[in-house]
Amino acid sequence: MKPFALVLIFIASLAGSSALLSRVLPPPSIPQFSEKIAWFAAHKDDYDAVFIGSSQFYRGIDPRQFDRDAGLGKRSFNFGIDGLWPAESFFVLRQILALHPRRLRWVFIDWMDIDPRIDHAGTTRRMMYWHDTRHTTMTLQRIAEMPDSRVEKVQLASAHLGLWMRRLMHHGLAVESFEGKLRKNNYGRVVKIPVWAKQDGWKSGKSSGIEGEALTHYSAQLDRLRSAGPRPPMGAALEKAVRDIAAEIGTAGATAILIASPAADTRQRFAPPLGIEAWILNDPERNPELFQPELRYDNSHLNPRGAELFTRLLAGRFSQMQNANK
Amino acid sequence: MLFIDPIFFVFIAIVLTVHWTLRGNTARKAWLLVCSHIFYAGFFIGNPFEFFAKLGDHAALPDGWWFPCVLMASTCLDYIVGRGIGGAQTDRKRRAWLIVSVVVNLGVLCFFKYFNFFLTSASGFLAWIGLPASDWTLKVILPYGISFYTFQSMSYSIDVYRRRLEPVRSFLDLAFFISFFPQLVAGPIVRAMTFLPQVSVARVWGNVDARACLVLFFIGFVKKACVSENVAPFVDDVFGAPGTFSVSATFIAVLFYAVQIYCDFSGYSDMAIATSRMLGYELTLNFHFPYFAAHITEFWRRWHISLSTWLRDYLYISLGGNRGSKLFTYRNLMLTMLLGGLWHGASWTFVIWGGLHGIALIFHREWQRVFASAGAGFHRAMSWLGPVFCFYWVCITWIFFRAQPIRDATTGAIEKTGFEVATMMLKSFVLFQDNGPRSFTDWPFVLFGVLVFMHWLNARQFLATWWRRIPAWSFAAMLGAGTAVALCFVPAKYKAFIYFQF
Repeated sequence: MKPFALVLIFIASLAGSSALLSRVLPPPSIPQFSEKIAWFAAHKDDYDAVFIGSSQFYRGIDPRQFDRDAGLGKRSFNFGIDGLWPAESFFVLRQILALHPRRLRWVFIDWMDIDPRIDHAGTTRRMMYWHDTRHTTMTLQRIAEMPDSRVEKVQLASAHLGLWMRRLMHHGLAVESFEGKLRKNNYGRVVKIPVWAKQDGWKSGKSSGIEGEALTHYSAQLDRLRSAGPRPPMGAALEKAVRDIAAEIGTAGATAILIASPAADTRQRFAPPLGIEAWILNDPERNPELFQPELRYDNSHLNPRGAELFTRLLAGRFSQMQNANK
Repeated sequence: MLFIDPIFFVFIAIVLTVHWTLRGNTARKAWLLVCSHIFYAGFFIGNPFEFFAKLGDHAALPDGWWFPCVLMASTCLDYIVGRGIGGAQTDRKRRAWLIVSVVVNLGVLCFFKYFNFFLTSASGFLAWIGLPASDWTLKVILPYGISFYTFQSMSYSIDVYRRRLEPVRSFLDLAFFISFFPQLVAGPIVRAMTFLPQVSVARVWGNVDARACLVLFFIGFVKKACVSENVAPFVDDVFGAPGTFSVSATFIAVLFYAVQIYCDFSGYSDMAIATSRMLGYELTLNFHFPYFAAHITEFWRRWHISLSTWLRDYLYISLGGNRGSKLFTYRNLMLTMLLGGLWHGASWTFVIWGGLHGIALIFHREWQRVFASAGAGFHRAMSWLGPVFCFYWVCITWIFFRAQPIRDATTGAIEKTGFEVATMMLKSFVLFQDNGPRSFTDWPFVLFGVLVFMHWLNARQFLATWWRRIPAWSFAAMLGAGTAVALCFVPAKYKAFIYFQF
């Protein structure tokens, strides 16, 4: 038999075996995500609205206050996770939609750009789990748009393709269950219920304000944001991703609402797209109260007082929207 | 670039394709020399695009970026020494050339490996006797593989000096031998006498047993990526906080460390030998089921064979070997093992490890002498009990080998020295005293039993040849399925091979 044919048989067997293994192996355990999705799956029919996004949402929106302030008798869940940027956030959102939550009518999306940067400290399960074909393609499209050099783009793209390949091969998926079998649960320590589980997904950030050297840096960042000029349109990759996910949310019987969170970050400024509800709250001229240094603990995150104000503003806007639609 | 990194598979595919496409032996050697230096440089320069972009700014370059130059300098030195010895008319001149090689090679090795160790040990000693001593050390980082290639290049000079080998005429041949990438970073330590004759003859693809190479590489991959990497977290946990674990957890940690270091190092050796065979070259066998050794002398005939035979031939015999009184022989044995321990790293725990093996080797010699005339029943009993005693002793020595200082997470100050860690582990492993309440489930013992059983099956050659008898297509299919299963057991994050640090 020719070597080429043998290589093909090897690859076919590898792919076939991986496909079979995907039926046997447990899903990966991802910090924050696995706990939240399991909890949400158990309570999926309790919620009318979901907030999905990064720590800006996770620390910045208290769903119980939102429900109270909106006064519409609805219940919402904060599915914020630290560092959850697109394309990972869109993957997570699709996992939520796949649960078919019956009451879900509104999905609030943390409106951020697709982040293709990779932490070179080492591959983690979290880096791998969302790299399915769809979300890897989304990331590759974003890389193609980037102004970086061709060499940097190729490096970045190959890193994502490597993660896609590893996910496809279930790299390390058996390790976790194996390790769990060998260890005692946290060496006998009682596992506490996460704080967010008692607060519909929300967990407050640090209570301090920005001070000292961080304040100087924040002020400079804020000045850059003020002088950044008109909002550019979304890149083609992000626009396509947003339209696709909005359509899927619509098919599930809900409405997508994009929220530009109050972060002093120029990478999160886009002109609102046509046909999709978008709330811009990251403009220091229009909402200066959200950018007060005493209401946030760093450039991107609001402290509990800031979160209270942000949530109130969101609830007011949501309430207005609902009343206008009546 | 580790043998288990995805990028290595791309690298080796390119290397093999070009190697077997080239016609001339010189062209092939030149190609492999270039590839070996690229492979080696990859450990130091990081991302090549970033490295070349920063080349003008020395301060921005990564530490040790110039280490490949040390490798080349070592090669040049031994080439010149070889030619010098070959051309010397008198024994005195030959010896002078050899001394140059030994002093420079060991000098470079000692500088990188032991400079700070001797400095801190000396300042510690001065402080102990009440003399003022500063804590001054130099920022010295260790080039990967220096212990291995230094020994290889020294073996060339010594063999030329001993007239066992003709000095090579071609610099390319020597450079290729010393830097050959499969064994460059962590051995096996290949002798010039074994490798250089292969270099002079063009390799033939028809002589490569590709199926056996793939099986050996796969076994090495599984040992390192699936076994060693998965037992390592248990070992790290217990050795990182020995005061909090129970006797059973300590046993698991020590037994797993024995598994980890064997699978890590022999896995590396398997992959190195398989890669080398794919290129047509044969390397030295490095492991032969050492944990089934009936006694410690046999253990050292089966464990890290290339190092133990190197130490025997170039150190033990040079010290006089057993050509003297019993005490003289024991002194030589002890010195060889102590230096063998120190070869592994600049730490007293390695010296103790070597010393414990030295004691065991001497004890075994005495044992053999005393019980030489014992009955057949006694010898039969020892053939069963010997491997157990031997393994237990080897595990005790591994405790010293693995013990590292525990540092405060924030300040970096040493909370417990490596010796203190080893003492606490010994208390549990030898005296069966709990150090704390933490423990694992009983499953690790089951896993250990399964691993021992599989290893035993392998040692008895039960798995040795069945894969040769199946058709090529089913072999390819089984290798594909095996790879798919193995990949599920490779942790997302894995460490470099343990022996890289030596």
